[in-house]
Amino acid sequence: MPEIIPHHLKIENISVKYGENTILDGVSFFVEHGSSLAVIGPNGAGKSTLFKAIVGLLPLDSGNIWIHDQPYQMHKDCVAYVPQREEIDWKFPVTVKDVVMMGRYNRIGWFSRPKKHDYEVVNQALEELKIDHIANSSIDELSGGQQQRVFLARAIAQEPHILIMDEPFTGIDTPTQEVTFSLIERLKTRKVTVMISTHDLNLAASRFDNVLLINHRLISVGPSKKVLTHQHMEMAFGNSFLVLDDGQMIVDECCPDLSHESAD
Amino acid sequence: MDFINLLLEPFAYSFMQRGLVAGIFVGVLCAIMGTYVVLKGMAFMGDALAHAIMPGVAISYIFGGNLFFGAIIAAVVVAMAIGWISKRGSIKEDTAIGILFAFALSLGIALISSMNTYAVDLSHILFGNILGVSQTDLIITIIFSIAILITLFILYRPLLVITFDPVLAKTMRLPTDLLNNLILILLAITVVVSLQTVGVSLSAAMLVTPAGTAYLLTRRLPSMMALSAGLGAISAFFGLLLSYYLNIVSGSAIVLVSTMIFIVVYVFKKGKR
Repeated sequence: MPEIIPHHLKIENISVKYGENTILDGVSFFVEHGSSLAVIGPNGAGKSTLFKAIVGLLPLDSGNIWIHDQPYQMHKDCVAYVPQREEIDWKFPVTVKDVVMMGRYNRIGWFSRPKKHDYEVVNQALEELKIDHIANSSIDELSGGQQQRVFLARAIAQEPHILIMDEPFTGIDTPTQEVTFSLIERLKTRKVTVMISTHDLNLAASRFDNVLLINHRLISVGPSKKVLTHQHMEMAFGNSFLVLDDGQMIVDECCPDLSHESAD
Repeated sequence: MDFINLLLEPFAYSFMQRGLVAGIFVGVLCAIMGTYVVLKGMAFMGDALAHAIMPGVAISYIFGGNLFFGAIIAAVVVAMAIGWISKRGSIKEDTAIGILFAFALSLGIALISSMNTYAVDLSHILFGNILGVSQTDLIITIIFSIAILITLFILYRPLLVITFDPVLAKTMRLPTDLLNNLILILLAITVVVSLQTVGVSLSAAMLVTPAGTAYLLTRRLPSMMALSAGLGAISAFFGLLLSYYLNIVSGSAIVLVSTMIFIVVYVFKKGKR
C-alpha cells in the first residue's frame, strides 16, 4: 500500500432518498484510518442506509464519499461489507469455503483460477473465525453464529481497508460475539477501519473508539463521553428517552423491532 | 430380443440418431442453464420466455425467414421488456412477466392461426418434432449449445456471485445489470435451441426439472450442474426410447422421464433440505 495517500474515510454532506422520503439528510463526518466506530440511533434512523450508501448499494442524492481522498466508486476491494443475515439465501448450494473464497474474486481476477496464496488467505480467515472445522459444510447446516462468522471470514479474505458490519451483535451467541470482538481488536492492529451499527449503547460506548449518533441527520460523532449526553440523546430518541433522578439515562427503543427479530 | 438390443435398435435409423444427438445436447444445455433458473427463482420467467418466442416463430413462418433467428429476436425483446418494466418498479416482476407472456402467446397463436397448416405447425412448435431434426438443425443446435456452455464456463464466478449474493456483487462493482440481462439472453437462446426437440411448452420443464432434482442431491454448484446435465441427457435418451416404443410425442416423453426421476428422488431423499 502506498503510504503517500492519506488514509481515511470522508463523508461529505451526503443525502439519500427512498422515493419521496429523505433517509439521510446532509450527513458529514470523518473516520481516521484504523479506528473503530459504532453507529447508533433509533429504529429507522438511517444506520443501514448510511452503510449501504458507503459500500455503493444505494445512490447518493447529493454529497460525496471519499476513501483515501479518492471517490468511493474507484475502490473495488477496499470496503468489505457484512450484511444482515436475513438477506442471504442459506439453501444455496455452496460450502463455507466457497463463500469465503468469493471474497478473493476481485483479487484473483474474475476469469482466472484461485492461486496457492488465495487458498492460504482463505484458510487463515477460516482459522481466525474458528470455523476451519466446518470448511466443507454446506451453508444450510450452520447455526446463526456460524453463518455470521462465515461472512466475517469472507470479509477478512477480501483484505479490506474498511470493514462495515450491519448489526453484527443482534441475535447471535456469546462465543460468536467474543470472536467478533477479538477480530475487531486484531483488525485495529492491522490498521483496518471498522464500522458497525448496534442497538446496544453500552457496547458502543465501551468497545469502540468513537460513537456516531444519527437520526436522519447527524446528531453527534466522537468519543462516547462527548456523544452520549442528555441533550444529544433527547435529540435522537425523543420521547423514548428518560433521565432518572440519579442521572442514569434510559432508552426505551434499544431493541430491534419484532419483524426484524422474527426473521432470525 | 435381449435388453441391449431393445435399447439400441431404434437408433439404427438416422433420424433417430439425429434426434438422440439433438436431444442430448438440448437436455444438457437446458439442465445447466436451468441451475441458474432454479437458484434465481426464475421458473416462471423461463416458462414465459419459452412462450414469448411464438410471435417470432410465426412471423418467420409467414415470411419464410429463418425460424431460429425470428425466435431469438422475439425472446430477447420480451426478456428485455420484462427486465425494463420490473426495474421501473411500478409493478412487480411476476405481474410484468404474466402480462407480456400472455400477450406474446396470444399474438403468436393469432398469427399462426392465419396459416392453413395451423394444427400441425402449432403442435410442432408447442411440443417439438425431434424426429424431424435435419442435418442443418442439428448443426445449429450443437453450435449454440456449445457457445452457451462456454459462456457459462467463462462467466462462472461472476454468475455465481450475482446469483448467490447480489449485494456482494454490487459492493465488488460487478456490472450486475449487464450480467442479469446476459442471463436472460442466454436463457432466451437456450429456449430457442430446445424448440425443435422438446417444443415451447416443454422446454420450460427441461429448464427446471433436472436442475430441481440435482438441487435436492448436491451441496455445491459445480456438482449440481454436472448432475443436472447427466439427468438431462438420461431423460433425453430414455424419453426418445419411450416415444419410439409407445408411439407418443417425443418432447412429452422426455419431460415425463425427467419428472419420474424427480419424483423418485424427492420421495426417497430424506434429511438435508
